[in-house]
Amino acid sequence: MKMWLWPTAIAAMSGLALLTGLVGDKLWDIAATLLLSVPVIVAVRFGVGRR
Amino acid sequence: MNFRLWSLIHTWSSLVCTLFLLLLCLTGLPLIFHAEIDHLAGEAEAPAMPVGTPELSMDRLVDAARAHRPQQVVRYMLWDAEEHPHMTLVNMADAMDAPPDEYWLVALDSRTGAVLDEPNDRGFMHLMLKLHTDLFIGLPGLLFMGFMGLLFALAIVSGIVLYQPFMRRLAFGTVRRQRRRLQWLDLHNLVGIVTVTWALTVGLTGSLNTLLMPLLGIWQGDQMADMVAPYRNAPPLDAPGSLQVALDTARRTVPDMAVRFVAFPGTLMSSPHHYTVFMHGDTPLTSRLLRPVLVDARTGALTDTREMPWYMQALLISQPLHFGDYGGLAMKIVWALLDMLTLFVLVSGLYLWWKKRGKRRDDLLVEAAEVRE
Repeated sequence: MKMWLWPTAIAAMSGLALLTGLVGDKLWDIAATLLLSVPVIVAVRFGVGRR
Repeated sequence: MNFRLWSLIHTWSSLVCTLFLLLLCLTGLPLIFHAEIDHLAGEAEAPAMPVGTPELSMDRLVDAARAHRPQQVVRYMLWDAEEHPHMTLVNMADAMDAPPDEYWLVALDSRTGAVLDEPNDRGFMHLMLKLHTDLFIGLPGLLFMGFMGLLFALAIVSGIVLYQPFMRRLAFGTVRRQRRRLQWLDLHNLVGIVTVTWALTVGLTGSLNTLLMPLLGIWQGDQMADMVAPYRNAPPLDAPGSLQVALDTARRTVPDMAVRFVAFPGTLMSSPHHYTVFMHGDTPLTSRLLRPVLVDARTGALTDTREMPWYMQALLISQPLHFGDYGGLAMKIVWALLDMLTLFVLVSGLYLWWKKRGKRRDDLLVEAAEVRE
């Protein structure tokens, strides 16, 4: 079950970002953008950044 | 279901849709920034005038459009006060019942009636849009792409199931670099699992968007037919009355909403006897939803207004979730990066399939487990 911790957390953050941006405005849009950038950062950090 | 079956589902649902998904991801990239690209390409805007300059009556704007293209009829008029203030976009065609794709757009200055532009240049962005939506073959192309989107969703779900057997003994984010195939496998799994929510959302909302025409047909036979039932035996309309009166009626009926567009009598989005005024709210969410207000085109009196049925609301809500156009430029950039990561998942998936040909599926699992970081 431990292996699902990070995937679940990132998936939940992405889902929250999509909904937050949809129903919110201004500051909520910024929050949504930051949350949605988490998968991109993780993919780049672990995929390219770690040797 | 066992590993072998899920693996088969993942392999074949992915393979069948990969070529089209590559096309969708590539054409989707410029489409994410279509507003910015259109702006850079010199999109016309209404010129600056003193603050408070009044806008013309809608009837005069209709006359201006008809005078500009007297051989055509006005089918729709659209407004976007945020993106294009003081501009009225007029959709004209040879006949009210001409196919939806056969139109001519005329942009008018809402204050003077002057023609600002005729944005009908079917250049690069139009090519991208057609390749992204219907492959130039209309509804069959749209539905086909919608089916590809569903296969993509199936590939994602089966990919989630397969993530466990491949990654259960590895720390999150592990990318083993001893063998090239393992490195690609780990990268495929990593990028796939972190982008899963976005990819599933964009895939499913894209599929839903391909159902626009069928859902419009259902709405017409369902809610619209119910609202215009009293007009079933009414004589044909000779000439529609004042559009301005119809818009005033709609604004009085739902004062907390603004007009997005109006469909003229006899068009796909209206009835032969009505102006249908589509109103939208002013919150981020309600600005995406539409409420039709049917106004008798002869008298200007209200006929009916209702909230759109759930399937139309679902369609309208799904659009921003597919386009990524609701959070400003920064979100569009993130959307494009996620699009590129999806491209990577597709290409790495193809590579892994090519390399594993001829191997037994169970052997792949053993191979994946035996080499640790």
